[in-house]
Amino acid sequence: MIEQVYIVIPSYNEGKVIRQTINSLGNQYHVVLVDDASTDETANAVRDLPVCYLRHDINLGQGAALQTGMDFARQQGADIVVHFDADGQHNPADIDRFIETLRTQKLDVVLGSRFLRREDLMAIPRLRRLLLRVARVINGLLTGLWLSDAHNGFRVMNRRALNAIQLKENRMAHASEILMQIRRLGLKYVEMPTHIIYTDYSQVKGQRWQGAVDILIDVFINKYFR
Amino acid sequence: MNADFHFSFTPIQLLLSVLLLIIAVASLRLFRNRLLYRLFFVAIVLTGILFVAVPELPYYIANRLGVGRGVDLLFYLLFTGFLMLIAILYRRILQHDVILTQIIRQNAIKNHRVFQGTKKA
Repeated sequence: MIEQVYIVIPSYNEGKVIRQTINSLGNQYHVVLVDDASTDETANAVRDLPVCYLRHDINLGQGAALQTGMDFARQQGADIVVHFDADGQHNPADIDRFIETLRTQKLDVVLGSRFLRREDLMAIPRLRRLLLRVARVINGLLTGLWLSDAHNGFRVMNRRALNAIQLKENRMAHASEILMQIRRLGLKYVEMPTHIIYTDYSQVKGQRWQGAVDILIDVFINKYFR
Repeated sequence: MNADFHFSFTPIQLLLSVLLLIIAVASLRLFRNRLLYRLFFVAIVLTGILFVAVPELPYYIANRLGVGRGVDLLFYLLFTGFLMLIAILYRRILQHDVILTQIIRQNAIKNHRVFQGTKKA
């Protein structure tokens, strides 16, 4: 039986790069683009590409967009779901490698990490590297999952994880929420090295340190006060 | 300390009492089908009227509780009430957020479009 692999791409105002990102994936996967109420030309940019296009009427955040994509993929009968950033930071070549590991090691989730290979580590801007190391410790304390990389958006999961994980964090704190759920649900996981390409575009669009502090506060509040 | 209360209604006390009564009636209309909210709000307003009519009362209660002045007691109560109100309203906003997210998600899935070349809808 051929496994149905769905690539879920949450996107907000990524009209300039989304076409290139989807093209880089080739034709072997089902691509689910969740447009989180973009105000740019995202829809027109992908109109002639092989993609399932979903659009939020109101901007909800990356976590909500991922969950929408996951719900859709589940309804379509996905066996494997891949979380993939819209800004082209992730390496499409990693997808098959991660799926192979998921399959052969009978895992539920494979998480990308920038901290397992020196070349991936050195590609991270210095300030961001420092921030991620701090976030890793705080994340570990809060989620109980001690990973090498605190907030890597590249993940691959099987049907079991797809059915079990339910993101309630609409915004960026979903990254920590996934880890909490992996731990709570007893899902089998492993980290694998992945290379993130930091372009000028992605760095401008990416999170700032204030955002990281916000995420940590969200994680803390949701863990103890929700 | 002896409790020696007397009711009096100066013009300003009368005005305040009338305003509080209007608020009480408005709250009864506002919180439809929410008996607990109605009772709670009316109780607060009636206490307010009582404090306006008998200014010595908050002072007396404050002294009994060891707070000091009556105005301090009112400040503490208002401050606590204000924080509670923020917490209740925030919780309500979060609940609405969840509902809104579900509706938007269902819409997005129901109205999904399959662009050219897609292998499976």
